[in-house]
Amino acid sequence: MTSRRDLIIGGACVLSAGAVLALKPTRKVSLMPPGRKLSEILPPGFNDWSSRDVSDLYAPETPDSLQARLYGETVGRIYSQQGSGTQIMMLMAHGDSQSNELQLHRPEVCYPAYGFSIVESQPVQLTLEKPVTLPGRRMVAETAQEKDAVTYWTRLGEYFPVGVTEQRLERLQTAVHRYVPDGLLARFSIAGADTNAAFRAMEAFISDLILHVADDHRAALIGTARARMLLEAQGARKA
Amino acid sequence: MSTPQQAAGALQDKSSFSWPLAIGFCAVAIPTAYALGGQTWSHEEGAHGPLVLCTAAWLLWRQIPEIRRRGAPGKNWVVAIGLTVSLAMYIFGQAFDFITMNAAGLYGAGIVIFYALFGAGELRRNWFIFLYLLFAVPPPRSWLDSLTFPLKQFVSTAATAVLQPFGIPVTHEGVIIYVAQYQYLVEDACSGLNSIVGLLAISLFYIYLSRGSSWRYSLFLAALTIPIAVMANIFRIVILILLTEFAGDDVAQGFMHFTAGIVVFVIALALIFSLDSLFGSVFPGRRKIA
Repeated sequence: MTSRRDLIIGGACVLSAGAVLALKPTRKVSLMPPGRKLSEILPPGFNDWSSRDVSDLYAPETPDSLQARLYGETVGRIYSQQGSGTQIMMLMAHGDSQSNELQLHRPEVCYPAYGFSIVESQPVQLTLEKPVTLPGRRMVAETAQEKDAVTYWTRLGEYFPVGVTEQRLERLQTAVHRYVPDGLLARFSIAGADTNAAFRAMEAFISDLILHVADDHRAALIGTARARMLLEAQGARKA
Repeated sequence: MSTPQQAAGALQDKSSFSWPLAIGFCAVAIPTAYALGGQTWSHEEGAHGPLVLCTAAWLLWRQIPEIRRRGAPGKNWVVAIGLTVSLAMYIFGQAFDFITMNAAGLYGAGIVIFYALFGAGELRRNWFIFLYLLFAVPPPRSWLDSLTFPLKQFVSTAATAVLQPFGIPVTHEGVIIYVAQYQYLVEDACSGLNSIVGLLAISLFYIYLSRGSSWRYSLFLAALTIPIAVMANIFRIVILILLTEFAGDDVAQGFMHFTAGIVVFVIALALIFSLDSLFGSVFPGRRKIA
């Protein structure tokens, strides 16, 4: 015997399952140039900067580590400037599809996990080339022995979340637009006491680095809209 | 036209099995189980999930004859509201990949179906099983993160404080422990949060089986579980430090890292069981279920 009520309840459940199928984003969108890797599109050296690859910018790696699950590719480099001797640590990590399980780990969350305390953290607009800016964050993290000035940005599809909440909301926005975005974390740091000078040096470096990435590869780092604006700004300067 | 006997038979049939409900529930439950399997059950923080589901199902199954005998269908308007809210959460969570909302929506839908079949009285009478089942709903990652970090700090501090008086060369800075020339990061798994949740679930299951659903006693033992789990994890880190110091890094990081976790879990569980047998005999207001 089947009651009408049972049919309605069961039907509502089946309809819900159908609604999920209709709503679930299936299209993956990645801004990485096809067939290219981060390590290829980032210049190993330019102007008076040269670099060497390092692998242990994070804490020691373990096979099942979160890091290995999170990112498809990570590039760790130390860039050194010939004249000044300034050393900038760079970590770039790219993950193909951002989901609940696999999403960018923000430095303001993961630095404390590695024993740092965060003494300063604020959103900042990084100037790439006037008037083009990129929303990022400045952070000062320290342990008893070490003080790090950290500048970073995160890209989620075409969004640039500057906090955990924004990151979550913007992932929801991509889901509503029915696609699964890729994600990029770009983190730069200088160890030392003079954090103001460090931030100035890093922000000049970031702008230089991006201008030395091939025009059609920049979207992977700064999104399509800003890559185009940057090209226009450069064109205007040349003209 | 039907005899009372036939009517009773029909009633029995009606409450025994309903295909539309079974199909409907499976249609929403299977995708969630798949998502849970991939996202939380396969990691340490959610490994107790399937265990909780199976044991809760078994507890409920044992009660079915009683539930059927006493149960009476719930009110339509409550079912309508409950199902709308639950399924809306379910759709949102499942479609946009928010696992907590997904599982909570399914949990709600399950409760509503139970209510529709057997009513509020039976829901109340089996409150413990439904509360226990909540352990299968993964909490939001941000809750876990905000608890994990202070716990990691605490177990690191405590583990080094225990060893220093014995002349072991160990120091820590935040969540990094230095032993001799080695440096260890206390990982999230070592915070003990996962084992707190797992131990809590197993303890509650055990308490329910052995003593019935006395909420005072359950609360009391659950409260004891938390410090025990934290101490167990301090102990686990102490073992690993000692192994590093006396047997070398390879031993500590290899086989023993995993084994120490299991051993400590078992010790903690044994401790809870013995505390239960100690307090259980003096605690008033409990009832024994057959």
